[in-house]
Amino acid sequence: MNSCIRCGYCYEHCPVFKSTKWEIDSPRGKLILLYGLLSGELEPSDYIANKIFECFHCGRCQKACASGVPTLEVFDAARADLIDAGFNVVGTTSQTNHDICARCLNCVRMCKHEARSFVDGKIITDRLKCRSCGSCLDICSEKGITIGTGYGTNPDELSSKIKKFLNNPENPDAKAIVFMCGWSSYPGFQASVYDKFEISREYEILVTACSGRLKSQTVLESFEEGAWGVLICCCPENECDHGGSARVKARMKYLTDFFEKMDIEKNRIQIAEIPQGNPKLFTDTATKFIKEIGSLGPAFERVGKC
Amino acid sequence: MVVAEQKPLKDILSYIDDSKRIIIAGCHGCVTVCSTGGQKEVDILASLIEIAGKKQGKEYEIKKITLQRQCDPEFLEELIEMAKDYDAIISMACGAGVQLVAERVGPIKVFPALNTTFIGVVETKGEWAERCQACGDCKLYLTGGICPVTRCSKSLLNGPCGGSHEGFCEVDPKTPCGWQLIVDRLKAIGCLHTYATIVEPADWSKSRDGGPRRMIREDLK
Repeated sequence: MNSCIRCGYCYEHCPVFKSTKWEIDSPRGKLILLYGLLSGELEPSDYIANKIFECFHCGRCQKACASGVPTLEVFDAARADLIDAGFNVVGTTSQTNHDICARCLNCVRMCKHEARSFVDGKIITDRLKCRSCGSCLDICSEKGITIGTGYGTNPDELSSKIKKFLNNPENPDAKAIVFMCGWSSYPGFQASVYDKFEISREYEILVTACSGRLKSQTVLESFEEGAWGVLICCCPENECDHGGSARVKARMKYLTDFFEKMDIEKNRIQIAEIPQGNPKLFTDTATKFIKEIGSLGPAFERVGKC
Repeated sequence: MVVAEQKPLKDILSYIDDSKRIIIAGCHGCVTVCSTGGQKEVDILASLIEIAGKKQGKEYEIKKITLQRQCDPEFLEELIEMAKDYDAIISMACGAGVQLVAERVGPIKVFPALNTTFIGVVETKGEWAERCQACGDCKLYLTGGICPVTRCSKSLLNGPCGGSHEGFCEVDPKTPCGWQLIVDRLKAIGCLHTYATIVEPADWSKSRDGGPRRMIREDLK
C-alpha cells in the first residue's frame, strides 16, 4: 500500500469511479481509506466497509498501476478483515431476497465462483468469493437476486437508459443498443478511443459489467422500445472469468429461436467476442452491425415514431 | 416436482388471436423451480407476445401476475377479481393449475402456456429428468429406490426385456436400462435377493386407468 504514489492512473480504468466520478469510489480513494484505517486516523464504519466491497474485481487498476500496487490482493485482504470485524455490508455483491426465493438452487449451481450456497434454509452469498459479475441475476425465476449497487449496470438502470435513448425525439436516428462487457471490450475501447471516437447517434453503448449480467428481458425491452437490433460485445469465451460469454450466447439463442418463429430476423440480436485491448475490432463490428440492421429496417412498424 | 416446458410461441399466439386484453399468470410453485413459469418467464412471455403483436400490427394489453400456487383455490382470488376486465388468461402453471383457474374464473378463456411433461428431479444444472409416473402403487421398496414403471421404457415389473444392451435401452440408446440400474443398485445395497420376488400384475386401476383420482383426508376436513 505504501508504494501507491497517488498518481491516479487507476482512475481511468475503474468502472466504479467512471460511474460516479467520486474520489472515494476510485481505487486510489479506497487505498487512502484503508491507509487511514491502518494508521488509526479513521474509525471503521459501515460506510467505509461498504465502499471497500463496491468493486467489480476487473483488476484493471492493478494492471494500470505505475507503482505495482497489488490492489486486488489489498482489497481482498481488507474485505476479509472487515468481515472478521463483523461488518455486514453488501457492496456490489449479489444478494437474495429470502422472502421470495423459491430455493430452486439454480443460482447456487451456476455460480462459477462457488459464492452461493444453501445454509439453514436460505441461499447465502459468500461476499469474499462473489466477484460481482451478476451472472446470477438472470437465472432467478423469482427475480429475487439483486446487486446492491450496480453503478449503471443493473437491469433497471439499463432499462431506463434504453428507454431514454430510443425515445429521444431529438435523435430520430436511434436504432440500436450495444451492450459492452465492462471487463474486456469497454475498458479497451474507453481507454483508447473513446475521447476521439465520434459516438454514433444510431446506437447507444451500455456497459453491462460482465455480459453474463445482461438479462434476456433487458434485450427484449430494447425491442419493445423500438430497437432495430441489439449487439452484445462479450469476452472471448475462454477469457471470461465468470462464464458469462457462454451464458449470454445460450440465452440469446433462446431468444433468437423465438424471433425466428415470429418472422423476426435472427441477426437483429448479434453477439461479438471482443478481446481486451482491441477497440478497432469493436468499431468495425459495430459499423458492420449497424449497416446490417439498417438494411433490415425496423423490427416492426412503430406507432407514433418517425 | 412437476416439470413443464413452454409451448411453441406460435401455438400460444394462435390461442389469443381474437383476444386483446390478456392476463399472463405465473405460479410460484413447481414451474418456478423448473424455470418455466415463474415471474421471470412471465415477463419474457409478455415481451415476446407484445413484440409478436407489434410485428402483426396488433396491440395487446397485457397484465402480469404470479400467484403463490395456481393449484390452491385461495390463491386464485386476486386473479379471479382481475380477470373481469380481460379477454383471456394465459396460465404458466402446470396442467393442474390451468384447470383450477378455468374452473374458478368464470366465463373467460383460459389457455395453457406450458406443456406439463413429467414428475421429476434435477439431474444437473439445466437438466430435469422423469422419475415418477404417479402410478398409485409404489414399487420402490422392492427395487432399490429405482422405479421400474418410470425408468424402464416399457414399465416392466419383473426384470428387463431382451432389448437391454450393455446397460442401455433399445428404445433410446442414450437411456440407461431401468432394470440394469435396479440390479446394480440392489447389488450395491446387498438386496439382490429381492430381484427374485415375482411382482403380481399391476393394478392399473390405481393409476390413470381407473379414471381421475381423488385423495380425501377426513382429518383435514
